[in-house]
Amino acid sequence: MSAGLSSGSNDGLEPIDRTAKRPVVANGILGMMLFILTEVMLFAGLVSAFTIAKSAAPVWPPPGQPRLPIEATAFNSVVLFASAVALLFAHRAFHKGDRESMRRPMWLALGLGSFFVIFQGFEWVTLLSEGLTMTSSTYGAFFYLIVGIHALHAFGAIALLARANHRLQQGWLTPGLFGAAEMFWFFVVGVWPVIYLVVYL
Amino acid sequence: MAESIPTQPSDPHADDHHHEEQSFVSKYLLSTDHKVIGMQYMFTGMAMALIGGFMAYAFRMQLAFPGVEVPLWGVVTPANYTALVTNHGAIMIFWVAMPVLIAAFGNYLIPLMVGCDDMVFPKINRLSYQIFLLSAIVLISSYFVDGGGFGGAWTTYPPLSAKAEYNLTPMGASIFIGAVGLEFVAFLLGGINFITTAMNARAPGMKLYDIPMVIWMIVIASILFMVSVGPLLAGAIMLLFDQQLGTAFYDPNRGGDPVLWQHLFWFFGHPEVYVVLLPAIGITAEIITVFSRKKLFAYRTVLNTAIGTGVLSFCVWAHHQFISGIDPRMAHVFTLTTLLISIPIAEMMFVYIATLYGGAIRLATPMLWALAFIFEFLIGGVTGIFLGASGADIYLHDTYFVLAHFHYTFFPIAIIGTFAGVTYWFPKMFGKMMSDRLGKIHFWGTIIPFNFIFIPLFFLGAGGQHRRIYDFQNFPALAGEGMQDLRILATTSLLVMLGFQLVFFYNFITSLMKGKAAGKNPWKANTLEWTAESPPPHGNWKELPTVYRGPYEYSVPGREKDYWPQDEPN
Amino acid sequence: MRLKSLRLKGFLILGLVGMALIWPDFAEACAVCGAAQDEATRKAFVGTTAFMTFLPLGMLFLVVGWYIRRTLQREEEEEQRSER
Repeated sequence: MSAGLSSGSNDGLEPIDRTAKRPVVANGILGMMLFILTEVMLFAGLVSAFTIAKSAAPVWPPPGQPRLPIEATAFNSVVLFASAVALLFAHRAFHKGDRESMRRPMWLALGLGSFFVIFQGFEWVTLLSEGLTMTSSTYGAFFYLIVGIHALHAFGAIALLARANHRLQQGWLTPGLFGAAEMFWFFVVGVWPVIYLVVYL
Repeated sequence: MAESIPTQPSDPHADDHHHEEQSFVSKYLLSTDHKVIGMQYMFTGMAMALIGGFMAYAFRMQLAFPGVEVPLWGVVTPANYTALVTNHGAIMIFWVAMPVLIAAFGNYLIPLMVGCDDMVFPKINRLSYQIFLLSAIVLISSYFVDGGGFGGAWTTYPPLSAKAEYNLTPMGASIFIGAVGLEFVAFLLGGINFITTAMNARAPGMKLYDIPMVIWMIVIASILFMVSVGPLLAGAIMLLFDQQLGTAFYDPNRGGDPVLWQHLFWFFGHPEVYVVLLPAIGITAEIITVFSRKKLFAYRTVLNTAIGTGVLSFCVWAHHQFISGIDPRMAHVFTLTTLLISIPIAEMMFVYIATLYGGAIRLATPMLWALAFIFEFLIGGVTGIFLGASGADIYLHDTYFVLAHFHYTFFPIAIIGTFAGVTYWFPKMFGKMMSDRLGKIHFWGTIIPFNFIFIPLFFLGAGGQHRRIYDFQNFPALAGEGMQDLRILATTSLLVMLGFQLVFFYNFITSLMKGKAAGKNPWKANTLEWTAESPPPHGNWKELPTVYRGPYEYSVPGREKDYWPQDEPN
Repeated sequence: MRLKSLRLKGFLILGLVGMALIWPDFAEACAVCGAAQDEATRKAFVGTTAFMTFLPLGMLFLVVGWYIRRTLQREEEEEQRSER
């Protein structure tokens, strides 16, 4: 597109500041807030569906199906929370304007988040080999559906966070991008305990 | 579709923004300009409306004259019939009402009416249209795959929609779900843009209560859409898995529950009605104030009732499931909330009538459409009361009474509301006036046949005619002489109405070619879009406007002119 | 007097709503639906309905309400500044 209004560095994610007055919330953050509202409802729908299927079953979990690894996932949840805490430190440093001491917690948050997703992947492989599949029962189907959709969101959030980190290394991380990325990651972390309580326990 | 956008006269201000000459493709197909994207949505929506209207023609012919060879289609087989009905419903709601009312008017009007040069996320906006176009192409492609288009009604209730051995459209059903899913993603992106732009990019001086009503309505509608679509997306993924991976989310034999789908679907499905209704109500507000030269009666009341409608719209959806075996305790709660929601809507109608009262009314074409919207929608609303009562609904459920009721709501919204908006903003969009005489011929030629299509259907529905029957000759109670006559009346009226749409297209094209030049403000309206050139150049204004007052200051005592534009200091 | 009659009306409406909740008995209108044959599933449907209905309303009330309040507050501040 033309260069005049949308500047060259603009990729559609970085909103253009169009007015002189200061908005209550930056464009990128407001957009992400609205997106997260939608996502919360997506998970609300999934969790509701799961609750109904669970209550309709005579025995839950269905007999003859492998059990979900509650302890290992509890450990993994702690890793996820640690990543959110690391991001909080980055948040603090960012708002103090201290870009140097922000780098380490950013890398830590990214690393722990990636560990969570990879660990989940290993868990899936084990469960699949034990005979829990999408077609073996609604138990398995809902497990892979809900946890899978959460994992997809985790992927997206990590990608956005990595992008923010890349910008940080280049030295022009904007509050809009960082705010949106951290908000999405906090959403992914925040929705996980609900999933753990409903699906695993 | 997008290619049919007419070449606009090159505007003299283009150079002010330092734009190099653009090729046709980059100017009209890959543009991030909100006006071009709005047009793309509008023309795509109109093309889809033609397809949806043609489908209605084909299956109405079958109902009035069973087994006849329908011109341009051929004999309508039972499989054809179900696919046509299904896709007519889905197209008219998801590919006509939503893109035109929310996306086209939202894209075109929001930056112009709040006084900024473009959307805040222009590239996301372009992506939104591209995904939407893709979804339309995907939907149409379902007609050409093995087994044909999906025929399980636009509500896609499982188990019919979940298993190929029931619906006999192994590919069509999944393509249908995929197309609807893509369409939702497109509107999600669009909705984020609309809300953020209207909230964050307003012109200096424009306070919250200075925003024109149509913008508020589009914003509220976008919020409703965004928070209601999640559960349906979840349900759609589950349905797709049932179809393609053999899971059993909705299969009662293997631990699933088919009512679960209805639960997730109608959680979105009912707010969706208000998602398309609110923009149409907003368009009406703009038009009746301009053409009766009066201030909108009780601006804040309209806004608050719109918010109230939005809140209540989340509490009424289970009224679609009164006979699905839901808990009767729930049915009664939902009866009450359903009847309650008529109150804010009625309040808005009264506010509009109060606005008209004592005004200097000028019955130009847009005003006729706006008045017709109020009148026809009222009939739709009043018949809804019968269906909202769970006792009456047991008899009326899935009859033509339901069908006539929601056509009396959706037709005023999607067709009358759209024509009102298009005839009103046409001078701004293309810089030319539309012919008022042809506009009025088109108006009466649409409204009168419309009533003759659907009033007979109320009687047929009350007489027990079921919605999903291919040929009524097989049912002695429904095949009687009187009932068949009503069906023929409805179909004939449909043909008349479709014929009169040619007047609109003729008017549209001739006005584009040799219409009278419109000038900046042909209707003498207050809102900001009328202070820009017609059509507005890329960037909308040379200098962005400043706002000093609300949008509806008409006939202010002591002023020479009877209107007071928002950007005039005094 | 007016307040009293308003309160009376409120109680009347509450009573009607309460009666509507208590009165209905179970009736399976749909002959082929396998859903909600037992009380546990019925309760799950009622519970998730309430959850899905009030979650978005609660979120909107918090987020949009906060945003609108902040905006109005800021508009007021600006007005005061320009008056000075």
